[in-house]
Amino acid sequence: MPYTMLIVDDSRVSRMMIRAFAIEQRPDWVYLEAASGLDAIEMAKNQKIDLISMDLNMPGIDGIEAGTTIKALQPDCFIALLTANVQNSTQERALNAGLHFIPKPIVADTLLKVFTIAGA
Amino acid sequence: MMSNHAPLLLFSTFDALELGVLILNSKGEIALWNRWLVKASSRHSDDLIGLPLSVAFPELKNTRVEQAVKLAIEKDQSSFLSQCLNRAPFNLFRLHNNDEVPLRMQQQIQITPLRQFNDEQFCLIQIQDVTASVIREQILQERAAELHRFAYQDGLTGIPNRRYYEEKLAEEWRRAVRQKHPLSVLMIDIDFFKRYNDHLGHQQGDTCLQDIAKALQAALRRPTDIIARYGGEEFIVLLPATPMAGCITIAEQLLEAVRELERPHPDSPHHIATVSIGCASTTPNRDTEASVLIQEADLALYFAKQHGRNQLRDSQS
Amino acid sequence: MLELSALQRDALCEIFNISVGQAAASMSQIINEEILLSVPMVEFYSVEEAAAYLEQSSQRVCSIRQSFDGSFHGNALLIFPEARSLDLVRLMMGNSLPIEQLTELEQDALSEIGNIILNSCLGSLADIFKQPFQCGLPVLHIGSGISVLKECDANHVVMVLQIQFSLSSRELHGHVIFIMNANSLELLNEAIDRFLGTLMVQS
Repeated sequence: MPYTMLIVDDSRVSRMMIRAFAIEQRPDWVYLEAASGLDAIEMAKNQKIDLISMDLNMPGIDGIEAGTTIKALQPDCFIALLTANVQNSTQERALNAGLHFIPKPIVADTLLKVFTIAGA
Repeated sequence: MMSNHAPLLLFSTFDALELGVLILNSKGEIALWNRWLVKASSRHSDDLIGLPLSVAFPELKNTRVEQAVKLAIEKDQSSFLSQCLNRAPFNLFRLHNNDEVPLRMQQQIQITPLRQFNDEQFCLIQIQDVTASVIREQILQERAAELHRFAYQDGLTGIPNRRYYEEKLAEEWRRAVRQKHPLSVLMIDIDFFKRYNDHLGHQQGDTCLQDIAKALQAALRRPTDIIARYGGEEFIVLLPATPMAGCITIAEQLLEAVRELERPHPDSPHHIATVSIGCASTTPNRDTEASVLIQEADLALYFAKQHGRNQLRDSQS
Repeated sequence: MLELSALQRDALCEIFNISVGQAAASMSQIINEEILLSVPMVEFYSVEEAAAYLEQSSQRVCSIRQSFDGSFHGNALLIFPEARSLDLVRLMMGNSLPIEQLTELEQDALSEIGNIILNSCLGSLADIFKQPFQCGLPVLHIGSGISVLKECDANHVVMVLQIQFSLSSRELHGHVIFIMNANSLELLNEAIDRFLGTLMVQS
């Protein structure tokens, strides 16, 4: 079974960039996209997901909230929170929710970091 | 506009400039530098011509100067390096320095591309000595810090003044509302202080105020507790995150701290200088006001005095 | 005025996010503390609209301006309300002066912060145009919000980027604006489409 990665970001270009960099490094994976936290949760109800790249700031529920809900549905899913926010309070919230903090911007290295930490 | 002497004149101007000038070729090698820089770096002018910048000035390795030179040559971008964010990147010393120890020069640096000069991209580095500004600002900073301290400090006793307390009260009140924590105050008054002054004179009175202020301040052990001189012989203590029970314990310690001074009082039934304390405590919410808490402490202080002084009373008794 | 599509603006946002990310890395190195920068929004305005936008707040602003010239030309500015500029420079220098104005050296430090950020933004524009922009030195100015636009022609285009500074202790917001000559939008339009094209091919 190939790995499945879900890319959650309200910006279409961000999703395209993450996907492009991910495909470069993991060409045989299956990639899914969601434009909001709620869409991501719906997808996680219906299929097994191995890895998620989750944006923090999105309209509706934010990445930490969505990540928390998905963690409850799929405890084995690795969730990387991509954000340009280094405030202590945010880092703490992410950590408590079991999410892994990855600093933005999105460049090839960002995805390499995600794969390395996820061990995937 | 150009006379026949222009090239020579330009060259002597270059050497007479009161700033450091360094010109690099497109490979980042030193093409030209002026006398100011030769002197400030105590090097010989010919030694460095043709050397790469980081070989001529090894201290620049991995600094923003190196990055900025790259930006100028490769990307046509100009960079500004401030003294605050780049502590003296070049190893330069003050030229006109009367001190015996050479003073390291504080620098402000501008790095710009020199475009299409002989079809080659050159890079111009200008270095200004801003040591005098740095010294001036240090003095300004010290003055400002001092003024700030004085604005919040009681001149006689050296403890915080009423203005400081008012600001802290507003701040702690908001915090207590937010965190739903109790907040307590102690109102403290020196017993029979007028009589003390009448018997021993104002100079002794001032020393008495100073000693008691010091003793009260020393008896408060938590860094969050705040004492201030409220007026004449009155002090106020602000105790964040402290309920009534804790507030009374601290008030007892303060009473004892003043007694332990054993400062003789010729006209007091206790024979030594003592204080009376009024305690008040509340868990504030958006509908309560800080002034009520202070009034309660004031009233409790009044009762402490009515009952013979040298004691505490709380607003609930 | 030529409009950019939502996708194009989105792309421009990500391009700037990458460049300010690099600026943040240099700034973190300078102050020895992690600082992240991001651009959550890019908008385009006419000079008139930009004036209305900048006039919204009556606060004095601190601006750092750099001229640029290449595929198109104009001025790039980093703008903060004056009080925020004080906060930022003192956060970065780790002191809390009880002085309500920027000192001379603090103004220099802000010029450098502006220089790093504006160079990075202009650098990424140069990347998508595959042609360098010649950039001048930063000039700092403190004045009313509207004074920022005083050298504009009526047919200039104003590109406004929101920029967010994130430090462990707090967040700060400012703006980067580009005041550009009229044909710039058309050129930007083409360059962004080329950039989007490369992404489409890869996916």
